[in-house]
Amino acid sequence: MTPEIEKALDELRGVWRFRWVGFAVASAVALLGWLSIFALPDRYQAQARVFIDTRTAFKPALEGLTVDQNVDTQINFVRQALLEGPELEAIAKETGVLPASLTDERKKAALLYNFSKRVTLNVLTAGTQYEDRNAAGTIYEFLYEDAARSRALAVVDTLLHTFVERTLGGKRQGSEKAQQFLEAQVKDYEQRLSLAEDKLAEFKKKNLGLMPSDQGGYFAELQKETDAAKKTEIDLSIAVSRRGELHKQLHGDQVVSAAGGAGRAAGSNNSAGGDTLSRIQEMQAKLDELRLKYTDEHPDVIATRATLEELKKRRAAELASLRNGDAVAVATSGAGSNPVYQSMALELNKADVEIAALRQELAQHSGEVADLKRRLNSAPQVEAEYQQLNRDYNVNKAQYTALLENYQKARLGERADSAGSVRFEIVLPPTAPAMPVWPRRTKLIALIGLLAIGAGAGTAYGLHWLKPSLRSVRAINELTSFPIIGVVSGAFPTRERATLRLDLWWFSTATCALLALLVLALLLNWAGVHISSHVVDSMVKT
Amino acid sequence: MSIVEQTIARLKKGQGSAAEPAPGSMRSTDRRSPHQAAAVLAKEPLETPNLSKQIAVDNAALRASGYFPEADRDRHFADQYRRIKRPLIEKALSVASSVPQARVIMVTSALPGDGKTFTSINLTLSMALEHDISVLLIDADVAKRHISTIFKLQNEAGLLDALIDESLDPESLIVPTTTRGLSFLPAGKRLVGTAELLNSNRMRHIIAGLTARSPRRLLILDSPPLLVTNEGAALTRIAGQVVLVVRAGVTPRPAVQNAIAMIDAEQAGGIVLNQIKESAGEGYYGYGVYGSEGEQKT
Repeated sequence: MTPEIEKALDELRGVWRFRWVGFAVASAVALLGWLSIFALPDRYQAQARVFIDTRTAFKPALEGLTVDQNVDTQINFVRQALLEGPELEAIAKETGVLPASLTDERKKAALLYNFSKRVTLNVLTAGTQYEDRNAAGTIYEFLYEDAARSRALAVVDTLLHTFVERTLGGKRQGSEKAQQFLEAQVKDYEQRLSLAEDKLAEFKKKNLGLMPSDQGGYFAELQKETDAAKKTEIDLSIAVSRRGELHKQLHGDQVVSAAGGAGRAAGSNNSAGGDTLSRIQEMQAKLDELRLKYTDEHPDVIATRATLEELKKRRAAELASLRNGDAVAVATSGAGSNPVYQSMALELNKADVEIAALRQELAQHSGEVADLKRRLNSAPQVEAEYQQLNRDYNVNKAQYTALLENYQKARLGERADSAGSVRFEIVLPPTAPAMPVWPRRTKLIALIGLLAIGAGAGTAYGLHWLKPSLRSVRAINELTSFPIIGVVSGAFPTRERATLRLDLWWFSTATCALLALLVLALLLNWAGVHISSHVVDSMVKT
Repeated sequence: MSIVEQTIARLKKGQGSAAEPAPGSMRSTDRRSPHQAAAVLAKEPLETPNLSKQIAVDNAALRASGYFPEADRDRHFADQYRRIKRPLIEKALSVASSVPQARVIMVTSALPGDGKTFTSINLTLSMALEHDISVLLIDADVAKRHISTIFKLQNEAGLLDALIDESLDPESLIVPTTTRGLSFLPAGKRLVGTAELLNSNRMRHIIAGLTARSPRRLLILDSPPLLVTNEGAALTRIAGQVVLVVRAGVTPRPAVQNAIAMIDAEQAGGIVLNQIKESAGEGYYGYGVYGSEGEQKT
């Protein structure tokens, strides 16, 4: 045997010395433990589950059409309110957990605290397989433990109903409030809008013609008019110079002589021509002919010569008058029948008309500019005022429109809610198992058994540790250098063995008795025997 | 029984000459101070009348009262005690010249119930078997006085009487036995303040006187436990060798340590590990292994 094993065996033998003390402790622990287990009051647990779906089929259908109220917030609020405070007190009173006759505030507070400790509200998300957990809805689980099963059920029932009612009620209340607010706001904005409309109309009436046009404001218009006037002026000057040129050309020598020449040439082709130039040419030809036949003294020659002279004079006079632009002269001179002359004259005429038109336009633009310049001080002010009025009006209008829209949405939302946009489904109506949820006596009895063994062994070991003994020469050698002169074995081994055997017999009998007691305790538990039932009832009543 | 009977017979046959060393021879080997020797001489004649109260050691009675082992353990026990007594006797006799106290062997323990009386009796009986020495077992456990009770000497005058009455010769109070070389000194009259008495000079004188009587006489003191009485501590002052009885598996370790602390190193007679458990067949606590070990230590 190795020294380690020897030492361990020594330890065990040392502990074995205190077996009876250990056994006494173990029995005491076991008996007390088992008795108290049987005396423990039962605790029944009632349970209820409600499924809340905040995203029913209504949700997608009404997406964007209604004002979305956050139901989860409301639920959380109710949850909190339910777990503490007056809500809980009300429930406690209603279910009789808190007797109405109780007036001692401290007792009441203690009871309520105890009550709130026993109430549990678990939030379970339904269907974790969905990506969006909220989409799957939420399950709320109410748990409550009580000594009386019926009361536990009642409490859970009340809790569940209060929860549902408060959640729905609170939501409706919130919705109504929102609607009232919206309605008031809509009315207010309606008033404001009509006021702004009136103001604008009034202003427009008052400042008729002073309103800035669509194209731009006062300065833009002034600029435009000034530009137009300038452009007209330029056009006019061009037209005037063009007309001057035309006029010069028409009354110039070339044009006149050309006109005269043209007339003759035309006259030669046209025998009916009776204008001066052609008659001069005729007379000249007649004179030349006569002079061939006659002398100069011949009367015919003299007469012809005189006529020719006269015609020449007339021609000179005609040209002069043509140069002066005499229409009659033109007509008589035969220039009128000249196409060049005629086109030029036409151009001149056109130019004259154009000039007249441009003059008129210029006058108009100038008048406009002058008019605008006259309004230089007043116009921008009017314009600014107008713009402000317009802006007010627009803002009011936009706000009004938005409010009106939301109001309609809220009303629709409310109607949708009452139609069931939040779904409460009681998954598990209040139930409580017939067996108490606590204490788990079988487990506890076994546990106490183990604890007793542990306590006994621990005590024995502790005593051994406190009173270590020396049971071998080795142990003494470890302790001291004091010489050991010898060992003496037990003087009465037979008697000792008998005693030991008796002791062992008693010890095993006692241990068996304790084990039998354990079995008895378990059997009693399975038989449902409690020390407590009526004791607990009387305690509850008081 | 046979031994006792033989002894009785021998004692009856040749009284004082064969059993006890002759007073003359004792005197010749006595190397103590003249004063002490004179004292011993003066008391010498008083020893003989004691034969009147001579008693017999009844082993059966001892066995019945639990101070003697079972019949079939006799040999085993004799062996064990032989081993224990050997170093004690050797030390007592070898250093007798320098330390006369070495012949005063105190058997004690840390706490009561460890087996002091049992060890004293058995050690004494074992020593009595020696041919060269005589043993005087003194009941110094004056409070419990087991020895006196066992040998029915509780009404006899004893140690305490000698302590309070200086005129009394302790030698005259010794109760001889029919066993050769074995005698008792009972506790005597019940008194208070025994610790002071045992600590007194008178006690020293008495012990000195008893040892001086014969250089071959060994005194065995059955003492009170060291840790619970003052008497025990007082007795360590006069004892030459202290045997500490430790009950295996019972005497607490710190008690043993404290008791050892009260014993001077030169007084260290040794530890007797008593009532060791012998597991049947295993021999784990067997004498062979530890007995030899114990002997080596001594």
